[in-house]
Amino acid sequence: MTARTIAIGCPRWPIVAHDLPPDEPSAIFFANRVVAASVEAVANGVKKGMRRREAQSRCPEVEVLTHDPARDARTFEPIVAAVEAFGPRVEVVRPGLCVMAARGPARYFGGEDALRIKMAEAIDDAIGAHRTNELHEDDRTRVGIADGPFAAALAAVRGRIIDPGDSPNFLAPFPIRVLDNPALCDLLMRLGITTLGAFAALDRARVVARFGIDGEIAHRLASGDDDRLLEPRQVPPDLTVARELDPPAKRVDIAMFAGKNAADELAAKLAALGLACAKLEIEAVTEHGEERTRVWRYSSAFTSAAIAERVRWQLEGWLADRAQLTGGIEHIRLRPHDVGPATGVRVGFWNRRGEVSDRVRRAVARVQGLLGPSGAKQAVLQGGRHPCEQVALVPWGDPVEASRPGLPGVRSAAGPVEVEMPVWPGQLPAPSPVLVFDRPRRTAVTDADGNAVDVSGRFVLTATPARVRIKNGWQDVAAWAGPWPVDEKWWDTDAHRCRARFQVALADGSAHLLVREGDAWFVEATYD
Amino acid sequence: MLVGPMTDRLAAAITTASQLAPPTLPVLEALQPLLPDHGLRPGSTTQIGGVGATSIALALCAKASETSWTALVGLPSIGLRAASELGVDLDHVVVVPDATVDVFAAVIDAFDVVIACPPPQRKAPRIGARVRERDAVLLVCGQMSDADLTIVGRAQRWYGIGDGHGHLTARRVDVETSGRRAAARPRHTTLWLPDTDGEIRLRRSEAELRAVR
Repeated sequence: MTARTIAIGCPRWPIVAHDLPPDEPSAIFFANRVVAASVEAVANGVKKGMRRREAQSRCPEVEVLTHDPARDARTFEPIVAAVEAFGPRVEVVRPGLCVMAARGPARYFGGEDALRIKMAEAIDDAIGAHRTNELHEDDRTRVGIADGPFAAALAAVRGRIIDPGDSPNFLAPFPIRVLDNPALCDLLMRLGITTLGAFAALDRARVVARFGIDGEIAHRLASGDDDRLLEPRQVPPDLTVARELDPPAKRVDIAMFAGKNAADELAAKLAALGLACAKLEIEAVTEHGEERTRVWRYSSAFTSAAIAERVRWQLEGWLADRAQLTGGIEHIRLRPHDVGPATGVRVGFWNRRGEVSDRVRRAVARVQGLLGPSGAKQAVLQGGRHPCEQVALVPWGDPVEASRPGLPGVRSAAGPVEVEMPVWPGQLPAPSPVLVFDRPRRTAVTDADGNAVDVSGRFVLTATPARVRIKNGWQDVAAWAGPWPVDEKWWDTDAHRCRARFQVALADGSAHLLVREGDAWFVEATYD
Repeated sequence: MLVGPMTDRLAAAITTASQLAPPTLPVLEALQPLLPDHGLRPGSTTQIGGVGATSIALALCAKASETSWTALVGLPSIGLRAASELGVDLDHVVVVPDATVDVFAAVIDAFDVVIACPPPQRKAPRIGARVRERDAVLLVCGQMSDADLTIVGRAQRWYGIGDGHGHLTARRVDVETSGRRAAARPRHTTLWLPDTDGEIRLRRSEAELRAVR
């Protein structure tokens, strides 16, 4: 006998989580396909799985929302908390759907029907409390009760209560694709098995023999026999450690008495639970309410000493800056992030980045304490057309990853290429300029007669450049090359940039990269 | 007679100052003639000025960056693609865009090689002392008083670029090195930085050839 299960479903949760007015057509796209669409968009013919272009042609005013599962899960959290008020052991299937054992709560609230109505109201209230816009009538919470989570979830879609023992009959007419296993469903449909009932009628032993564990799970679901132990949602333990300082500390060493103590407590708490954290948020508040919060990362698990060290660095960096501070520190709070099981640290085997000496790590952490996380950065080469785009600078501690694909200097894909790598046509050949200015410096270029040199819309020079103004002095051009046009993102009116680049070697031996954009000349980089 | 064997034994037992000093960090072969120790001596300060100063600084740390950690302090405009073309291993580079005295102190304590903008004039002696004490190598792009070594790019010429055609391919730089102690006599060197193959090569200057003769 499968246990009675209640399922709470919020239809179109990813859309609801975005908090839009109910009559606005919107859809969420991932990999160019619709993953969720609002009621209004569905009414206009937008369907799940549809290509973006087709969706937009059917409903031109559809608002395109970003696909962010993490956000969906985060916004679903208060809903889960509201469900937890009805009973323990809530299991979140996915953001927008959770299940719970129904027997106890149903008895307490006076029957399954009463529970269903009460719960739907409570959840709608919980959703409404986190929304400014009204909820669409069709987006209201649906609650269903049946034997087993799978049948309950399907019952929830229809807002029904399936009588005990009747779940296999309820499931039988559903199409096979509700199993959410595309590969298996595709095969079964080609075998002529189109409903759950037809699949459930097969002998389970034979299904297992043919399809393995995947098939067994699907068969159990189809026959309403998914009575596995509900995995209860673990209430995350509160790991935050706080310390009040009375009287407020004006000196680092005094504040550190409390800081060290808090660090020890946090480390002990984590150790007792067998957890480790890779990120630590340290918050310090002064008696006048000024506060500074920093998030620290550590490549291995934080130890008590490492936590205390970071508290000290943060306080030192802050207290040293007297101008910002009017009072002593009154409150220190340590909040671990990215908490996971303490399984030890895996040091890169081949990757030399793992081999950071303690000395360097300390120094960088200290610099970051003084200047903030972006005070120390690591560089990685990436694709791009301009010298300033070809390097990604990431704050130390963040994963060192390029933000654009490709590599500078790769001019053509030679030989067998396994990974498709963009080649960024139009990039400058080596050697690259050694000084690249964040903000290109204005300059002027004239021909031999002193007339300004211009570049036409077809990238033709109006005159031969003869003199360039560098650092407020005019220099004769010894040699030059260009114009090399770069017309980027012409399909996007905001991001469109059209530039012509020149290399010039001047009479004093220096060489520069000049750019003509709009009606101005710039020195973009210098070959120092 | 005991004197002969005794002195021999004594000589073997005495460690000279040069043996005590930590080994120099390697530099590219072409750059060895620039430096009196044929490498970057830990605890030394070098100021690099004139034309191509940044390129010379990067090229000097290229070989060392394969194994040692390098910090770029207060030089936000450095083109790191160019640095990697000059042979700098970006995996061992940390970029610190701001340069305060505290940053100098923290970085000098930990990093083997520090390429930096000139520190404030008043603080220079303290920073120099810290470099000596911590056996770091400080390469300053610009003026720094009390530097052990001064490298100045005197003149440069770019090749490969014409009158409206071609592109920059190679550069020749005349470099003058002077300094204290072993480097007291100025040396003149001509470098390809880089040559047409992108390599850094030495080209002996006329003056030096004459001196050899």
